[in-house]
Amino acid sequence: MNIYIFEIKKYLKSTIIWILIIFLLGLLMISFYPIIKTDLIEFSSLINNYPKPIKNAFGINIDMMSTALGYFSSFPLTFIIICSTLQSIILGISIFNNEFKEKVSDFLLTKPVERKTIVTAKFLAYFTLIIITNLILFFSMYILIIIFNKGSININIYFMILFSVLLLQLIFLAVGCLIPTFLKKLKSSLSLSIGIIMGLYTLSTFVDDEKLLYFIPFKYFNYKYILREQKYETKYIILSLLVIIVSVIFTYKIYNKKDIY
Amino acid sequence: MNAIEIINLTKYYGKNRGIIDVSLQVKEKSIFGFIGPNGSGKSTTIRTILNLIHPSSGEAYIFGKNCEKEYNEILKDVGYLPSEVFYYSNMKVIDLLKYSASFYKKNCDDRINYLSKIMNLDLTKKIEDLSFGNKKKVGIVQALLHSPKLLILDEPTSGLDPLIQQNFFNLLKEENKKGMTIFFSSHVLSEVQKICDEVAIIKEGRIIKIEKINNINNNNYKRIKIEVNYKIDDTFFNNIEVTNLIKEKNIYTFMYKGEINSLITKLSKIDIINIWIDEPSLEEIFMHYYDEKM
Repeated sequence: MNIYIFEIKKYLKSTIIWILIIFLLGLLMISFYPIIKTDLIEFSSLINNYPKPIKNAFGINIDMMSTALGYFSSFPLTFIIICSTLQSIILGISIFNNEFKEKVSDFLLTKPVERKTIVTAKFLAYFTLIIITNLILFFSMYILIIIFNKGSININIYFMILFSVLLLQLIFLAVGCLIPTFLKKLKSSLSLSIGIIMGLYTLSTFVDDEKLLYFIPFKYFNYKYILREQKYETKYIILSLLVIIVSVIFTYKIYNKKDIY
Repeated sequence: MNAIEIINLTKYYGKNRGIIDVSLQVKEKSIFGFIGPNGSGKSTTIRTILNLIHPSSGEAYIFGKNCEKEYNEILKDVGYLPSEVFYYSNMKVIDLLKYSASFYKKNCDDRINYLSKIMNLDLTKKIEDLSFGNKKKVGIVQALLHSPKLLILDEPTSGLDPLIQQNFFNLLKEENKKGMTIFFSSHVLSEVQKICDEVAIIKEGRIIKIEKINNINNNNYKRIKIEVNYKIDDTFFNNIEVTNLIKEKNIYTFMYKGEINSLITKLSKIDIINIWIDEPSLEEIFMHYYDEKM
């Protein structure tokens, strides 16, 4: 319990900053909606001149723009996803990397506490921080959309969209935790985090090969599909959960056996 | 019961040597010194018995408990000061110490105040603002605050000024009197000599020698310096068991191990202007062990 509280306190400040960044980005993006909505035809002719990769990169999809949620799941969501997954992978990588790098492990691992307890406490702490981030996002974005849309939205679809963000965050948290346990000495966790997120995101904008999609979590959620069908693609949900569970199990196993020197 | 019992402990990092076949026993309530140069395997040994590193083969026990399997139980009674102290740098000293104390089921507030007073440690500062020596003090207080039965120190004095070092040694002696076993690694031999009951010497991953400090200090070696006003015949020293013979002008310095009487008898046959007989420092003995083994 003391480790849990300690970790929460340690990362609370950065979590608040991330929440603020994501909120402000969301506010900025969503505030464009009334303008785009009224000038949709002009906007779409402008957008149509852009090459396809750019449209993909910013999640711009003219067909979706006509509804508030459609608009929200284009480029506002793009930025929200990039920022929130970045936040969670940084948390994940730092979970053990800071311990290994700063030799803080000497402190924690020579206390009468089992290694698996340490991992559990840390996981729970970061899970809590991610949930807090996501909850605040859920309500604040909802309010923003309602305000700028001047009308209600389909709460079910909205929930599904935000829940997909949570799943993505958890995937990157879990994978992030695993990385430093098998990399020997990680010099800069920040640049690695940014590299992974930006690299995968860039890949997700032009890779269409079915087999490669499994390696790009951003591709697990097709918002056009979610908006139209009001459901997820089941195989990707299973895949998401599988990635999370396997990463968590391996983190436990490897950390339990790791030599700290 | 031995506080620490290490049996044929071996650790390889991949193909690199860590330690080979290290065996030693540390008696309860003793102060045990562990000396060797950098990279000889001191830290590896310590980290293995603390379960930070898993051994390639061999076993270690602390208070009769297996270091790999029962580390959780063992660590309740162990305080550890790592050689390089790194802590969560944006914390205040007092917060770190309280966090440390929260792992033990007892109130350590009085101990924290008492120890930090002796070590002259400012509790309100942030750890990142502390100098190397002051960080070391945080480490020392952290290792002692729960009154462990066994204290493991990895090069504890580096970075401490002489006054604080003195306080620290006094503190160790005092705790030892109250029953604390202390395991102490160092490459500064004079400090080991000052405080330890028994000492093990490690080189290139292997234990070379384990000996009581008294034996080393009193019985074995003398450092002898004689001044003469002529050149001593080289063959003269062949009859005496001397080592490390150094000749400087008319002064001969050497180490002697053996019966003092027989030495005096032999020396009486030559004309000596002056003679000095000293206790060698542990360092000299230590170098001597190294020479022998090389």
